[in-house]
Amino acid sequence: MSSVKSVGLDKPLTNLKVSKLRLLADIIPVQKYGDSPTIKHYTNWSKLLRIREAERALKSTKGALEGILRFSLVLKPEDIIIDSASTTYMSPLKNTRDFKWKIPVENKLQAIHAYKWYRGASLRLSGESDASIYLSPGEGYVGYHLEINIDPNSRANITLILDNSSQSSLHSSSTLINVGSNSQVSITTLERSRGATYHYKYVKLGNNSRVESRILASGGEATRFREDYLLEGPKASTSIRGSSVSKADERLDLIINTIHRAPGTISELKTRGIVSGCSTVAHRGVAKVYKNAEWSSVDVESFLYITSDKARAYSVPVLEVDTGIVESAKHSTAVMNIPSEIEFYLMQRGLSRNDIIKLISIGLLEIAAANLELGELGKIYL
Amino acid sequence: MTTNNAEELLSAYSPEDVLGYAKPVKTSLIIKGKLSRGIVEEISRAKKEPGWMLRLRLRALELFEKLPTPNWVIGLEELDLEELAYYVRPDVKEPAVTYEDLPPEIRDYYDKLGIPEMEAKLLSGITFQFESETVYHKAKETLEKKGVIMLPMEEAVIKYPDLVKQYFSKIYPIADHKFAALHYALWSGGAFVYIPKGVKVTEPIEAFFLIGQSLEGQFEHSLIIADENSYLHFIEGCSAPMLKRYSFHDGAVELYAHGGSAIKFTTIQNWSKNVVNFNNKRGIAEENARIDWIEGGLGSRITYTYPSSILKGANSSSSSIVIQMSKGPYVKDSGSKMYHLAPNTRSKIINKSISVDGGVNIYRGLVKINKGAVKARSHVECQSLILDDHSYAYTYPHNQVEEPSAIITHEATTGRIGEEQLFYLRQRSLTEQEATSLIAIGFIEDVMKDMPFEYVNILRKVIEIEFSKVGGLG
Repeated sequence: MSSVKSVGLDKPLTNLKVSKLRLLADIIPVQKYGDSPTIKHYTNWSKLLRIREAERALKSTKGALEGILRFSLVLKPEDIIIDSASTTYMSPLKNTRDFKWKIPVENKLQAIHAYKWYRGASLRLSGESDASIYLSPGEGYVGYHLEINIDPNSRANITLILDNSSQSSLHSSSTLINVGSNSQVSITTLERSRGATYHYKYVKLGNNSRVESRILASGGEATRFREDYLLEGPKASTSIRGSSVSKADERLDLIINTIHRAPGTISELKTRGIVSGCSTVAHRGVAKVYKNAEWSSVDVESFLYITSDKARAYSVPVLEVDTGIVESAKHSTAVMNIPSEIEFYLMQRGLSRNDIIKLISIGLLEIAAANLELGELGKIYL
Repeated sequence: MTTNNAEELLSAYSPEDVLGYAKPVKTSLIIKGKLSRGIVEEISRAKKEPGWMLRLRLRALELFEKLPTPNWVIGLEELDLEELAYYVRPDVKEPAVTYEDLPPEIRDYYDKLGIPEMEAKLLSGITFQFESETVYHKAKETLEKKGVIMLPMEEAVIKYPDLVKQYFSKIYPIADHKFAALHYALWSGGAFVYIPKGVKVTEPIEAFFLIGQSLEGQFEHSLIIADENSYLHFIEGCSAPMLKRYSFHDGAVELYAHGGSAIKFTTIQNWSKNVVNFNNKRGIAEENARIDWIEGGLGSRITYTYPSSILKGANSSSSSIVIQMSKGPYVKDSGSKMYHLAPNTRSKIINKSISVDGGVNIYRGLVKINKGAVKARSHVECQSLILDDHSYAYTYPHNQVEEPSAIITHEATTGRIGEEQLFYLRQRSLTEQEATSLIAIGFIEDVMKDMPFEYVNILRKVIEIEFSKVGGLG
């Protein structure tokens, strides 16, 4: 089926030479259309590509490490900071051949990223460990590539902060996380963009492993924020909480896919978003149960609150089930204004409508960043 | 559920059981060959059409040639338009007004489908299309007395050109997609119905379409206009006997519900397993008007159908209730689309599917609430039942809101028959097959209860009778 291809897991292209990838980036479409006779796309591809064209002549300049430090975030010595100027506490990799994983190339931006990224890190976590990664690009195109391998029987907390809020440039990042069998991993991902952002995260879960993922995507002129959770080992499970906050004329396409490829796998995805100003937000995702993923369970729930006359909110929860032997496969979504009873309750306590929107935004951030002490950094997400 | 039981379930609606193998029927004109301007002109000439319709056809042909094949279309590898007869005229000079006037081989199909009995009991009018032309057409006197116009489509083009021109291709645009353009270039047959202001047609009108041979194209076009405060229930039935090779159906339905009127449009699609089926359906509802789509998709090799309503007037509403069953290597690609353009518009979509023996059911829907559609409401429900471990159910809903006071809610489930349900029924002395059959009927029954109409009851009885053969439920 065409939509299966769109998940983009089966076309590794890392063995291609840079010249071929460059050529591919020119000819490959911005995305494959195929899931609807009516809808073309939700990502603001034209903006992403316009920014890319404008930046072709630019060279990367000094990064925005200072931008992070300006806030009261307390950095630990073992934390990893990647910016466009320096790299610390990591093993820099020069080209994709150093990575064990293959990069799926399913659209133009992914192809551009595949040959043009130039900051990367490969981590291996075992036992009980924490890793915090801060990505803060400077002006001009910056592509980041991260590979994190978590050994079997480990427990890990990973924090990934993508702070693209200081520059209106194009940034891309690919994060590949391989979770070993019987491991338990908590992942917190916070993204704030001002310009154009292409984010891709790919999490592969081994036997009996568990991933709890919390996500906040916020803003940007054109943001495509995609995460794939591949439940490849039997009895692997994941619980994902995705949130988005958008305002002004921001445009965000949040895509979270859960792919069940082994028996007894469980995924639970809940997303919430608040859409205000003139912003446009799409919450999308494919929950796919392959034939051999018998007795699996999929549960998707999505709420988008549209709060302004000029805002637009789209919800596209796709469900693909290839077997009748499924424990449960369901989704429910709603797109609406802030429920009147909530609004009434808060207004009775003296809050204005703007206060209510802000309060909900803070709530979404707190859900996503429950494990973090963000301090002033939190402000950039609201 | 065992495969045998699943087969029993889906054989219940197999038209092959009813119509048998295709029989030769005498024809008076066949137009086929490479699709070209000449072919389209020949069809237009054969139908003695006015110039404006020929120009519309030629414009559609140009668009067909320019438009790309949609990416969402799958399973059409075998479709070769050059193989098809685009126009087949059965050897019937004028539409018959009595059954006895029909050629016996066509009348035999009629009798097997039980249409004469249905007409006598339930219908206020019927039009029967065989291949590309209407072969039987009858309206009860009561329709005429009320001022209802009910004609074969081509007759309406000639007799009521201004009325037809006002609506034809305005609701379902020629350029909507490649196969819509193809339809307009080659259309033939279909029904035209106009209900005057304030007239309620209490007994339904039916159009029945039958493809009689392999490698034929059927491109009928139905246009229904309900003037202010009127009501009509229109039924569309489709069937075909067993065909050695494929045939292609690319029909269209346009509905226009003026202020305060209501149109209920029921489709019982029962093509045989070698028919590739495109069914382009769209309606426009003015202020306080209502459009209800009801569809039972039983047969065909592959079906593409997306009943759509454009809620143009304030307080207009629409519902779409679809049951799709897919057995074997066959695909049902369906879905409903609701466009809310005005305040206080309401829509509801219910889609239920059963997949078995490798069958694929796809729901592809869209609810779009435009800015200004204040307090619009829409609810979408999709339920898929997969009866074995090698069948498929896919759901692709698109919910788009551009109006903050509007609400869309959507829910979908895909699953098997629950162990606890089976256990409960087994405890009450039903065999596993009986229990499975009962649950499957219940799954369908839930939607059928929203079809308050005798025709659909008959369909349900047919399925129940078939179940009784395996499960003793009758």
